[in-house]
Amino acid sequence: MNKMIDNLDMLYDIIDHVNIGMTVLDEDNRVVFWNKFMAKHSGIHSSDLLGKNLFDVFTYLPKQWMELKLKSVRLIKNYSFVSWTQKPYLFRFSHTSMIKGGGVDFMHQDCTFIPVSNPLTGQIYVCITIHNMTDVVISQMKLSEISDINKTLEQITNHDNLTSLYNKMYIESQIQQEFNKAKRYGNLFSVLFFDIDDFKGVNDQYGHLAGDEVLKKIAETMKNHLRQSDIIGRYGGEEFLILLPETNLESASMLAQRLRTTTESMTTQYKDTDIKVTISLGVVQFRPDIKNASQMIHEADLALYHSKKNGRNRVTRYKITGCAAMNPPAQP
Amino acid sequence: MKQVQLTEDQYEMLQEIVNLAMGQAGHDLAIILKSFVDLSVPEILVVEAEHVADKILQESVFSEKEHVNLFRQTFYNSAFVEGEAIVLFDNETRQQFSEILGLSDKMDAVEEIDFMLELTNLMVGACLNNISTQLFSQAMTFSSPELLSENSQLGNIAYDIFKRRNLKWDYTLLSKITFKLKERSFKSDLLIFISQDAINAVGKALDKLLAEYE
Repeated sequence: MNKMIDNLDMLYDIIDHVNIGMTVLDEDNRVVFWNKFMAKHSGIHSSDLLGKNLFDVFTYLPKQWMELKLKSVRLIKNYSFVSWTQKPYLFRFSHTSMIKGGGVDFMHQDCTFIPVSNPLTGQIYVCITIHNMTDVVISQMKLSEISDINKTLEQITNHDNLTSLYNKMYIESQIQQEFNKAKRYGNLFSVLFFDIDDFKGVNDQYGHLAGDEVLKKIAETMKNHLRQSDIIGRYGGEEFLILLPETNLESASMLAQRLRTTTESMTTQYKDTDIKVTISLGVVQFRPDIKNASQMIHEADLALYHSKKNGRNRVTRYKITGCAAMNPPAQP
Repeated sequence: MKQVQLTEDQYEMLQEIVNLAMGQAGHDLAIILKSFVDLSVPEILVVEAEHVADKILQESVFSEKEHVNLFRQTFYNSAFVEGEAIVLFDNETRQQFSEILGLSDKMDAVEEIDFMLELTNLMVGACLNNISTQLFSQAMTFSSPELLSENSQLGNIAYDIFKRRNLKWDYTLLSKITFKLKERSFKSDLLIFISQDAINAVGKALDKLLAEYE
């Protein structure tokens, strides 16, 4: 063991004080270790508990289910988990905060069962660790409320709230439809996938509101450069998909180049600063050997990935033989 | 980009070790599930990140049109081997759980997910602990299993999750194992991915073992 911690008492002290619940059970499920976290939240001191069977003291625990779990952990010496998403809590511990969160009555817990063997006796103990997840639960409840509202709105409108472009669901369904048509009737079409280079940098440097402005400005610029029949949607964060009906790879790439140079020379004004960004693009044309729309989007994404990898601010065409970069941007 | 590859000797040794580990894992699982567990001979290959999605579709016991439930669990050991396991169950298998467990009532959706998480944990734990013990003489440490996607078409979900830009490794060692239960229509795929650096760690461990055999 490391020289720093050759004193076992010290190690014991650390485990006792750490803000995670920790208990160890022997082969008959008697408690052999019970740290301060457990004592504080259960109201039962280690000294009053050691040597007693866990299920005799905590009669509310789901005994049958837990015994099975403990047995399997010992038997195949494997970890086992209980997530609050499945079972909110194992031990009935109260909230740690004096301010009760809405609708959460007990401390929500993530529990891990770890097999620990005693090298001297060969006995297999089970260590149970308890993480307090209550804060995560409360913030997730709030978040899911917001995202539910957002989803409903998007479903009603087919539009992305921020940019008012089409949303992911809609653009995907449009590509799917175009794909089916192409499979059946052999029309030609292309898909363009692009994303803003180092968008995280923009957010970090100027803040998220500035990032939102950039997204809006890009959306507006793109709309002005597309034909009536082209459909553009926001795919995710800073990713956009464009469906180009009746367009071959050559024209799609030319359009992609135009979008790239336009973005390059564009500025977004936010408060008193001018923000400049570039975009990386990937283009793919329909081929009869593509199995479904998802594969086609995946190929456009691969081409986009090549644009990123080769230095951003460029257009890459997907080809079966490998992705081909178009002439890179002029170096300033 | 540096090319990552295992030599032929290393592949053979790895295959041997994984086969051995699977035998043990099958035995462990049979005890818990009280049924004979049939594990396919694992296929092991080094895959470039760009081809991961296509490889999964190609290798899976399920077809692209089938609706599957996807789970994942990450793992690591102190020999710097880290990776991620993906477990797939089709909806047909999901319908069978009550029967497999001999329950009189049909499980509800939450119980089904719960059981699949437990199965994921069992399958991943049994297989990886045995591999890690064989290769590195130590057990793995695991994160809790999570639900990645429920009831989605494999073709769509594979391209969505394994998008190139979503993958942080250029190369991965992919190993696929199919699970079947005797006399039950239970089908499941376990896909194990280990990181690029981990491939090198595995390579080293294999060389050590190879030297011992000579």
